[in-house]
Amino acid sequence: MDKCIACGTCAEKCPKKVDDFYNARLIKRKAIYVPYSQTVPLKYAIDKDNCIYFKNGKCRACEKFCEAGAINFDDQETEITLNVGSLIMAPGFKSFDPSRYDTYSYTALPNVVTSLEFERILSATGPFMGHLARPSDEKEPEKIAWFQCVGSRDMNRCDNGYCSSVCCMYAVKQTVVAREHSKVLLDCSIFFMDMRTHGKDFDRYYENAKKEGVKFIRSRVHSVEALPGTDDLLVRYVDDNGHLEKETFNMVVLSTGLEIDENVIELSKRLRIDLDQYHFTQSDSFHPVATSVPGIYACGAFTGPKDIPQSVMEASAAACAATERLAPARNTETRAVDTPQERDITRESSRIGVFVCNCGINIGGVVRVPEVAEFARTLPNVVYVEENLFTCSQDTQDKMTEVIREKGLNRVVVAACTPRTHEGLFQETLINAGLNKYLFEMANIRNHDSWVHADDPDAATEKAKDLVRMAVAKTDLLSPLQQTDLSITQSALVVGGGVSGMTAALSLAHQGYPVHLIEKSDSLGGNALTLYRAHKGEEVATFVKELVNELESEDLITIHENSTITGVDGFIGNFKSQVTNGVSKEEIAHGVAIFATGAKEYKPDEYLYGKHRAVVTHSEMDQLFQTNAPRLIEARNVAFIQCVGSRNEEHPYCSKVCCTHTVESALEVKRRNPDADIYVFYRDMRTYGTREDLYRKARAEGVLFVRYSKNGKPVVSADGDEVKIEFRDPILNRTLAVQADILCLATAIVSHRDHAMAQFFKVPMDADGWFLEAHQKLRPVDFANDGVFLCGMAHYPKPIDESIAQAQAAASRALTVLAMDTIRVGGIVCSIDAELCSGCLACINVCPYIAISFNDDKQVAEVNEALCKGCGACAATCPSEAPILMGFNNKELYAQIKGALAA
Amino acid sequence: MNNKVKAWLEDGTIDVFLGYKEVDHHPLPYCFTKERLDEVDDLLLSPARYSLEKIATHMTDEEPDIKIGMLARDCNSRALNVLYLWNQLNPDNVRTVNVNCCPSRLKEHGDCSYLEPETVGAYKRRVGVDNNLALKDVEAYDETERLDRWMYEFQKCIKCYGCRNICPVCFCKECSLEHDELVRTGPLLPDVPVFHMVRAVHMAGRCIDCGLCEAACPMDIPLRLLYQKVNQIVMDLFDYKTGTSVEQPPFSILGDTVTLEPKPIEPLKVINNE
Amino acid sequence: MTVKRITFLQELLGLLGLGGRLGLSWISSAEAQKFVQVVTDFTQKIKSLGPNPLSAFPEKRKAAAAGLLLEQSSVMPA
Repeated sequence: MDKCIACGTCAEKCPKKVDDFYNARLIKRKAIYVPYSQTVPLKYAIDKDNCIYFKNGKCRACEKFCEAGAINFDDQETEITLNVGSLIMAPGFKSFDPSRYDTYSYTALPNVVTSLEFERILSATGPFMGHLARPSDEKEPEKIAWFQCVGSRDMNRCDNGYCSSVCCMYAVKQTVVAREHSKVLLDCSIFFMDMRTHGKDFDRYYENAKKEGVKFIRSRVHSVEALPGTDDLLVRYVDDNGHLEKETFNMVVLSTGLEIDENVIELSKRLRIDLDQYHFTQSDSFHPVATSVPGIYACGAFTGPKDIPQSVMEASAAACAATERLAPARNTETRAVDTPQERDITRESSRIGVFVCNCGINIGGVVRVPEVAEFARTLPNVVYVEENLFTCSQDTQDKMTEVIREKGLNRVVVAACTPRTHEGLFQETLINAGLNKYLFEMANIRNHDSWVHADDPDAATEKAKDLVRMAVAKTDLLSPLQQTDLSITQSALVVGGGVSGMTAALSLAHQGYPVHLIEKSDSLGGNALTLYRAHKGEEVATFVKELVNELESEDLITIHENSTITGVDGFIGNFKSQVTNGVSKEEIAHGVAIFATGAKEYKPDEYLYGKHRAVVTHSEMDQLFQTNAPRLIEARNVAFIQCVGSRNEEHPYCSKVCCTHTVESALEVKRRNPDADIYVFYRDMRTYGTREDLYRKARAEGVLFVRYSKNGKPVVSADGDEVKIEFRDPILNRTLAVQADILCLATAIVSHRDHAMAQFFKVPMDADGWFLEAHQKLRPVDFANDGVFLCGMAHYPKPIDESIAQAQAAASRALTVLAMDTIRVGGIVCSIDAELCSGCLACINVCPYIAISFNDDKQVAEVNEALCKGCGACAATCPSEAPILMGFNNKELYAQIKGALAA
Repeated sequence: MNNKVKAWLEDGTIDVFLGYKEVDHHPLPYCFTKERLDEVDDLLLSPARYSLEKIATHMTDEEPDIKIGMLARDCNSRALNVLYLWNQLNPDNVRTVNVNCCPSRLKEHGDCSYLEPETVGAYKRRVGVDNNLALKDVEAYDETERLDRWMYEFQKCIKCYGCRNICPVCFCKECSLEHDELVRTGPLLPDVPVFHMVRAVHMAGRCIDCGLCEAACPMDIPLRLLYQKVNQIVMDLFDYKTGTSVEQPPFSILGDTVTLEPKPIEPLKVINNE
Repeated sequence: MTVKRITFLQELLGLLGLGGRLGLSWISSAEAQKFVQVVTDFTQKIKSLGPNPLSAFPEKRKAAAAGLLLEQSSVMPA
């Protein structure tokens, strides 16, 4: 495996074709293969079940053609024993197999595909190279239907009673992406039961798709048939008005749900992890990543169906939980690397070494490498040129180290493949040879040359020379760059004393780091203090009390109640915050900060709220439960109205928690007062994941669910001690009315819009007032500003289990900073030449990392190396070229351009 | 006017006042000071124009807190706005006496030296770009002719840097036009059209269309037209009117206040001229 | 920022009659097909636009200078 350089020759020569599972079997791959192009490590492997040699004892074509000698037929499965302190399970999910929905004819009709297959069809690395095409005839479809809830919310044709949470959103996404790929205006219809776009910014995306003409049809489709004589599909469904409709589509996508693989269930049994009826891990709402076995943690779809951001959060959360008890062992098994003293080259004239790689036959088979090497010798200041079969192999590295020393090289060019994968390796070699690692440049004569011009060796050879000339021209001007270590303050500041803030603080304290917790009110607990039960039935008050007790007895945590932040200075590893409690001021030094500032319940001014005693919000309703108010027992009719202040113009987002809260409360009323009639007025019931069970149970217990549209809201009027609710019944299509003793409004969750905090820590806030993370999918708890993290409802409305997971995730991300003694800054960063700076502030305005500040005394801009990411935006903006991007300065780039044009 | 300036100088509202004074029958830019208050009587209004704000910028470089009074025609005011936005002058330290002189709805004719039409010879009219043309007339020439005509103008350039030196909004300590990699130092004539294009690019969000560059150009290159195009693009693309918009110029702000899609790269359709 | 600058420059080059010679496209490393398409299209476009008209100018200038001399000599009596 060490020898494989992933050149791909073996797969090219392998005669055996096998179904490509990664591309959902839509195309073939070879018996020697990489599963997909982003595989880590990028090494080819033999599929023993299909390899001709393993089956018949003959072939070995791959071995014959592998120049690196990397094929090893004798490789054996080995058993490795690892001693670990804890274990994280992240086995993922399996896409539901829709074969058993016989009326959808998935197995019989090629143009009925699963969403995963469609995902591959849309992908650039997929079977049709990203062209929108249907499998039967590879023609571009003009009309596509999506069926939601295939293998989800279904206890008849499968046992998946839960909602898979992600399919609504991915179906909407697929319509949008498919339209981008389509040459005609693609006709898209989504057949759904409830549209569940409850994630951050998802509802906006849904509304946009609607506006763009994607059709959303509320119907569970009955059947799909082949349209005789064509490859098209006839779809039968019952529309909103009860009419049976027929419509023809070129293609049907089944939005298949997420389920747990049998092997995972088997493994869980062996590990004695308790699973619920749907085979997700059993955990309570307050320990979302724990399993029934102490020391074993779980994350991702294994704990319940979920999307990428939530999976990433849980992954970090699991990492935090799994290491809490292992904190004392941190760094006990790490080793330091010995590196030789760096040579000072400032007084040396440029001595460039060029290493030209054949990459087996990858480059050498097209580009005439000896000619390129010969050409390199003629370039200015090149004193040494060498041609290698594989420049990246370990023995060449050792030799390169020797050559650099022996020939006194002070700059190195490797003409081979991409710096993306190999720069680090060669830089390591430079360091071992006592050279600064930035005195290095790569010319990519493989990906950019031999691979794409395989049919034209002459032109490819000329291009290789051009690329080498450019690289040498730049290298000649390179200078050593320094990185310096800044010490960091190993403590954290957590802002907000709700469940999220407390969880994050406790996690960090358990990991051994001091924490300052800032709470603006006089008590800890936040919104959780008003909540009655979490969705799995646990009492919230008890949990909060335990949490507060644990926090208060934790020595490493300093609680600042009645306190606010009045100013913040510094950057990652070295923040200084001014905190005041109204009486005294204090400056706190901290290395990281976690935002857990929460959100609040929206207080509406509609539906007689505040004007009639019968009308309450959810938090007020929860108080009635907690005090066991007689009103609950006496009530004959209880009603709930959903989306009060959510999914409207003012708050164009879904508040995520209210649907579940309503069904929980409805069931609780039923529990205490079985005779009460309960009505729920909703737009889409968004009881995602296993919360769907509550919805099903509520219906079974006789709770009446009545849908209303955004433009046909129920009308509430006072009627003595009761209120009268008039509404349009969509099925009877007439206006009805009910009386209610209690009307609970499922009101929105709204942001505190704390602009001051956003400014102090230089973090952005979106249009809805939620703090904006660095990347919505991949960095859901990080801010773009390093060292500042985010969790809980300050990020977006979310239930308590997700808040806790995100808080643990934020702690986990914060740990990546706190666990270091120093942070390394510098290298490829900008530096502003004060002599040239006119102080026009343009660079400060364009810096995406807020790394540049203005020195008022000197009237010039200055870069903070710790914040600079070396993007070069400032260098491109400055009219005077005052910012110098180290390693990519203008002189170097101009030299490179001149090199390109010199041919 | 003169009394107001005197009063400002006396009560310390300003330390100096920049205006014009007639010297040997020529109206010249002049710095009036507290110490020689009687000179203020000679402060005059005339068709003469100069980028007084440029002098103000230099003064501020030397003495950051100096309070400057200034006679400001419309172009001067626009230039001041730009200089405030680019952090070269502090609006708190500048007081102006305003002169409305540019043509407007209220006043059809401007009254500065520049608005007199240039005399343009027949040859230039035939092969170059007539300085008196409107932008749309220049753009009406077909592509090849446009290039030929502009290149005729640019090739006259003697790289005297007059356009830059007079420009009220050219404040950079280091000028790209003197960067060897962009415009080679030494050879005359300069690299064209690179010299003029580099300057045009740097004028985006800065040029306030005062026309002083063209007035200063010894070779009569129609620079104002060139920069009018720059301003037009900035206006069309970013809805930004340089000199009167109060927000940061479009190239100094990051983010999505502007949504642009890259133009599609399509193979050119071969047009048959027959 | 890049799209702002490039769009601006495309317009400006248009004034000189050099329009269409500057292109901008975002292509991720996963979009090989798109890359090929963009590069092929642009190459084709540039080829159909013909050689850089600026490279002809030193010659044209000489010719123009000669023309100017001729013109002046014909206008002005010797």
